Amino acid sequence: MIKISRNKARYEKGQIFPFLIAVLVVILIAIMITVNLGQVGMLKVDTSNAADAGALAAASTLSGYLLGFGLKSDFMEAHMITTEIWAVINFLVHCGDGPYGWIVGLVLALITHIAGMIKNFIEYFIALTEGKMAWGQAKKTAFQYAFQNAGVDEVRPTFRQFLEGVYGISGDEINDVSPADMAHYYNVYSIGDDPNNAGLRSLIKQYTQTGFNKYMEEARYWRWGKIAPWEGTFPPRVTSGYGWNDDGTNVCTGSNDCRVNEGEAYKNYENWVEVEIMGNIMYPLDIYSPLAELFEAARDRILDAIEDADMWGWVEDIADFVVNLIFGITAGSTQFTFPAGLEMSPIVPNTRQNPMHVWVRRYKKNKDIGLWNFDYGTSESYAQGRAFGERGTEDITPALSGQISGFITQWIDSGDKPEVDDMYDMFDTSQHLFETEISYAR
Amino acid sequence: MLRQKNILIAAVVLALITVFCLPGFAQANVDFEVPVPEGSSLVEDRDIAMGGRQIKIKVYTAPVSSAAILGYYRSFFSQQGFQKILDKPEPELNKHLLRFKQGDAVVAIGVLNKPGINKIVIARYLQKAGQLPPEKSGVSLTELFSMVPKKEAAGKDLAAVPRPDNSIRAAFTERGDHTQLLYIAPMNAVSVVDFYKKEMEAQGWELKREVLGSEGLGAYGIAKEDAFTPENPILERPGHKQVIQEMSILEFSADFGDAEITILPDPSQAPAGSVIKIEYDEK
Repeated sequence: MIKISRNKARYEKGQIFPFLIAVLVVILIAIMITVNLGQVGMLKVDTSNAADAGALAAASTLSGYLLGFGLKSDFMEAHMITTEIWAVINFLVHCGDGPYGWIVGLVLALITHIAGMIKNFIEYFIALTEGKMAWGQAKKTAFQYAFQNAGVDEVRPTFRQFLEGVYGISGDEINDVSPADMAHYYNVYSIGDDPNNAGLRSLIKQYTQTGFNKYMEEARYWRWGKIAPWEGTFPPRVTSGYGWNDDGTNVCTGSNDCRVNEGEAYKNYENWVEVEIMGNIMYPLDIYSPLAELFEAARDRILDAIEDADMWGWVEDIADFVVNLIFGITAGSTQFTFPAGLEMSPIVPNTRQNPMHVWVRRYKKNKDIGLWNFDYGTSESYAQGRAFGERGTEDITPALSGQISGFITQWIDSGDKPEVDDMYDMFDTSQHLFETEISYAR
Repeated sequence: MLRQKNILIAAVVLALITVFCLPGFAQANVDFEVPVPEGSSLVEDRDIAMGGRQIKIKVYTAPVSSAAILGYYRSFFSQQGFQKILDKPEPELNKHLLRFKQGDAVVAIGVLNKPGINKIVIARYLQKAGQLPPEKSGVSLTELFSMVPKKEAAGKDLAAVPRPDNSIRAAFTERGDHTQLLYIAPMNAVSVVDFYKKEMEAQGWELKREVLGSEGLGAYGIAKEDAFTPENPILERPGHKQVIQEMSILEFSADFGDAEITILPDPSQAPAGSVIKIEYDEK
C-alpha cells in the first residue's frame, strides 16, 4: 500500500518551472534573434562603410584630375600667350629692316607660332587622354577603397597548412622538428617572408597570405572578362567581386584566379563581397581661346608697325592677310581659335550633377547550428560621391588674377623674350580646387 | 611614208609651240613695260610668288607729286584699253592704290606719299576669272620662304651653337642674354636634325626634348576628330602639312645655356633645303 503524505500531496514547489522554461526559451530566442540581427547589422555596417569609402575615394580622384586639367589649361594658355607675344616681337624687330625685313619677320613669327601651336596640340592630346582615363582611374580607386573597407574576414592558412604547403611537414612529422627549426618556421609564418630563402619566398607568401590579400595586392578587382581599362575608355558600369570560405580552404594560388570576376565565380563561396560602380566614361575636353580680344590687340600692334614700315605699297595688304592668318581670331575670313586653354563643357553636368555611384553587396551563407539557423543573406549599401565646386565658380578654364593686357604691352614694348613662368604666375589656380562629398547614401 | 613624215613634223611643231610659245604667251600678258615719270629711280626689281602666282614687282622713287603720278596712270591705262578695277585712296597710310585689268593681266600701282619721298610700286600679275587677288589668296610657306633674301644678314653666329655648312644667315637678333638666328640651309631637314644632334652633343649640350611636327599633326587630327577642335587655317593650308610633318623642335640644355632649334623643310628649295630658327639663352 502506498501512502501519500498529506503534506506531500499539498507540495507546490516547482510549479514555476514550466513557465521558467518558457521564459528561458523566449529569452534564448530573443538573444539568438539579437545576435542574428547583430550579425546581419555588422554586414550592413561593412557594406555601408565600403560604399562610402569607395564613393569618396572616387570623388577625390576626380577632384585631383580636375585640378590637373585646370593647371594644364593655365600652362597651355600661358605658353600660347607668351608664344604669340614672342611672334609679334619677332615681326616688329625685323619689319622695318629694309624692303625684305617684313618677310624675315613674318617667317620668324610664323615658325614661332607653328612651333608653339604644335607643342600645345601635343599637350592637348595628352589632356584628352587623361580626360578619358580620369573616370576609369576613379572607378579603380573606388573598387580599391570599397573592397578594403568591406570587412572581409577571411582566415589565412593555419600554421599546420603552412608547414605542409611550404616545407612538406605533415601529420606526425611535426613531432620530429627541432625546437629551433620550429621557432624559425613560426617566425617565417608570422612575418610572411624568409629573406634568406629566395626559392621559397613566393610559396611562403602564398601560405601566409589570405586570398583577399593577394586579390588586393595584385589589384585583381581590376581584371575581369574581356574588359581591360588600358584598352580604351572604361564602360559606365562595372562589377567586381571576391569570395571565400570560412575555413580558409580553396586558397587561390598564383596561377589560380578562382575568385576573380569571370562568370561571378566568387558567388560559389560561403562568403562574397561584390562592388558595382557606375559613372561617366570620360571628361570631354574642348580647346578654345578665351583671349580673342587680347590677340586682336597684338595683331593691331603688328598692323601699326606695318603702316610705319617702309614697305612695298599694296603688299601691305598681303602682310595684313598673313598677320590675320597668324594672329586673327575674329578677323575677316581667317577665324582661328588658338589652342590656348581647355574647356570642359558644360562644367556643371560634368561635376555637380555627375556623381560616381557605388553599390556594395556582402553575402554570408546561412549557418545552421542545430538549434538555430543563422540567416545572414545578402546585405547591400549604396553611396554616391562627386567632385563639385563649393563656390559654384570653380572651373578648369584659366582665370587671370591680374590685367593681362598690361603684361602683353609691357613685353611687346620691352622686346624681350617673354617667360612662360612669368605668365603662369598671373593665373588664379584656386579656381581649379574642387571639393568632394558623399552626396547620397543608403 | 609621207604621211608618217607629216605627222612627225606636226608633232615637233606642236612640241615647240608647247615648250616655247605657250609659257611665252602667258608671260607676255604681264611682260610689258609700265612707263614711269621722268627722273624716277629704280630701287627694287624682283619677282615674287604669292597666292599661287608670280608677281613682277618694281619699286621707284619719283620726283613728282602723287597727284600727277595718279593722273598720268589713269590716263595711260585707259588709252591702252585697260579697265580700272580699283582707285582707292588711303589717306591714313599716305598711299593711293590703283589697279587696272586687261584680259587676265593686272597692273597694280601703289603710290606712297610720305614726307620727303614719293614711291611708286608697280606690280604685274595674272588673275583669271573667278580667281582672288593675291592679297586675298594669302601666302604659303613655300612662297614666304622663297622670298627670304638669300644673302648673309648682318650679325654674328653663336660660338655655342654651330651652323650647317653652306647655310645662309637670314636674320640675327641679340637682346640681353637671348639670341635669335634664322638660317637657310641647302641640306634637307632630316640631315640638319642629325647635324644638330651630333654637333651639339659634341659641344657639351644635352638633348632634353625632341618635338616632332608629325606628333603635333597627329594630335591635331585626333583632337579634330574626337573633340570639337576647329580647323586650323595654317595647318589646313595646301602644302603646309607636308612641311610641318617633317618639322622638328630640338630642346638642348647645358651648364652655359639653353637652346631651342626649330627645323623645317624649305619647299622653295625642294627637293632639299631647310629653314632653321635658333633661340639661345645664355645662363
